[in-house]
Amino acid sequence: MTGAAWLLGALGSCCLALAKKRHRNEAVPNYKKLAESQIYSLQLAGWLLLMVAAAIMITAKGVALGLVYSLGGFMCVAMGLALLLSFRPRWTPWLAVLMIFWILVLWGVAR
Amino acid sequence: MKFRHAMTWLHTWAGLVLGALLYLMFVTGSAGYFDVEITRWMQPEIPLEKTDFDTRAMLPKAEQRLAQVAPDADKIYVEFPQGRYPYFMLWWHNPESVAESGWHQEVLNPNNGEPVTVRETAGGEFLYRLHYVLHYIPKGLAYWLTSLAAMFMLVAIITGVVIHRRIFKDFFTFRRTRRQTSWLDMHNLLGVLPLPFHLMITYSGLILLMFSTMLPIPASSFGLNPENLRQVYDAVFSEHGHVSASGATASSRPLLEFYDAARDSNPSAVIAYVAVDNLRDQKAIVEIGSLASSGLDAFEETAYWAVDGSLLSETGDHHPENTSLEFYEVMEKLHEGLFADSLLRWIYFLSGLMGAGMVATGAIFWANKRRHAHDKAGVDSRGLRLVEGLNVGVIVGLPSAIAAYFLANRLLSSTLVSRGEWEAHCLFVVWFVALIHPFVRRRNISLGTIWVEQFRCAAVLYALIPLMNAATSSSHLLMSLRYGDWVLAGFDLFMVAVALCFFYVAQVLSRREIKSVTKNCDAAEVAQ
Repeated sequence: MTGAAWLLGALGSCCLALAKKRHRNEAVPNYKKLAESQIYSLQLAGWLLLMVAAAIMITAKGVALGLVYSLGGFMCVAMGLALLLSFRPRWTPWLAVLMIFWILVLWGVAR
Repeated sequence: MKFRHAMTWLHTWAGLVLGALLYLMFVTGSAGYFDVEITRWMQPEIPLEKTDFDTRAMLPKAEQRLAQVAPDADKIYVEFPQGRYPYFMLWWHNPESVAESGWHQEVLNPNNGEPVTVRETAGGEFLYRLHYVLHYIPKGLAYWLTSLAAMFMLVAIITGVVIHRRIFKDFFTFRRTRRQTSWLDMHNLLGVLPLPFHLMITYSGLILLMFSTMLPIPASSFGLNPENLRQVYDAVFSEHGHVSASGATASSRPLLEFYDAARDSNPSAVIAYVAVDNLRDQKAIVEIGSLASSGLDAFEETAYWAVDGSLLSETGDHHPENTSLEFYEVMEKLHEGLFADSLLRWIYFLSGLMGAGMVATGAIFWANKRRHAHDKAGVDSRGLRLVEGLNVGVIVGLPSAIAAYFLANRLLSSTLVSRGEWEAHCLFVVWFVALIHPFVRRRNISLGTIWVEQFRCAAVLYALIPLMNAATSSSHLLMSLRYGDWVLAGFDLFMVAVALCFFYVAQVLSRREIKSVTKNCDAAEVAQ
């Protein structure tokens, strides 16, 4: 359960990072220019995923520990992502795809 | 713009003035989250954790031993090894003891209940206390200094958020290839990402020491008379619902009965300790503590009357009736993180190290920027040289000193009088040498080479720790890995990881140094 929250949080962070022009340029070198609305939806998706991750943590661990875990987990994920974007920027979209795959697998197992 | 300028000035000087102290507090405070693990490593006489322990079988052995060594005690604790805590330990309190607190302790071998003689060590507790009591100076002064540092830190956090113009835009940004920006980017990342942690730890730290710095508040109501204040302090922090002894002796039921009762009422609970208060009294109380499964408390306690075995309702859990006290306790629990399981403990630890990194990168950025400007203008200043030297001595010197502290634990003779004190002296001697080193070497070599030298030295010291452990004790890495004792193995492995990191940084810096030297030589040749 909390594993899914970590994955969702990481995926949300990827969305938020890729919504920024600088990171998109480095992560996807020959990207097509995104429309304003597409950037907004990417950002929205990122925030939503983070919220869902926090909600899962809170249901699993209670309000007190859930909040501590959400903030701490987001910190770790964001730090990792910042380093990834600096050292291996092109891996970012693939990582996002991998994460979607994992989430689907977890979801399938849970059902 | 003027406002932002003022904030930048405040941020810079708040950080610079107490930067070294803040760095010390972040590093040793982070180590403090693993104080039990560190102490365990520093006492290799304690047997390896080979299997899951049967705490139920240990209890009668503990009771037997306590009857031998503590016939007059009025309070006893039996602590079982569980989770991160590897000790099977007895505590007892003698009311008529000559020792300062009246508390005594003994470590038992969890396999057979025999007492274990452990070496005297200052342990992880020393590193933890170093972050707010400091050393060699009176406690009151230390509280003031660390409170002051926390206050400056709070100022630095708030001004930092104000002057960071693109806090959301640059959220994930680390432009590593650009020399100057890379330091600022890293400083921002280390400041912004763990911002909730930084705010929490700084603010709660201030609150924890409020009886030093915010003394005027209670003093305004109760006067400055120390005795009165002492009474207020005791009244606020006295244990809630404490039952005092009746004075009539009575025999209690065996502890195992209470242990089983607690186990029956919650079979999944991990029982961490059994305590008896008012031992051998009519009003004796048995408390069974089990690891808390949720919330910010480390333990959940169940209390029984020891004489008839009935459940004691009112002291069952500890709820302060006063909102401000409750707030204080939440702050304390968040700061100390005793409730954290191993994953969260690592997150706490990493957040703390990120705080140290934030202070360090900020100081380096300041020095680099100044150096750049000075080189352009062709001037040199003593102040800048001082900060540059101190940066090396503090940022790399402190980790080296901590490594020396661990090495001293293995190298000092186990019969040395006040051995724990000597371990601490070793830490400060090495740190002093590391602080002097940049200023002595600066005459002959460049600042970059000094950084490389210190990083290499730190890497060697950390690499020596697991080796020295293997040479002087039987609890070395191969052994601890074989038996799956992850507290011990984790310590050694982490030391190896730190050594590798320092070595890597030294390599990167030395390559960069060689490059810049050859560039300068080329430029000189071209000029000729």
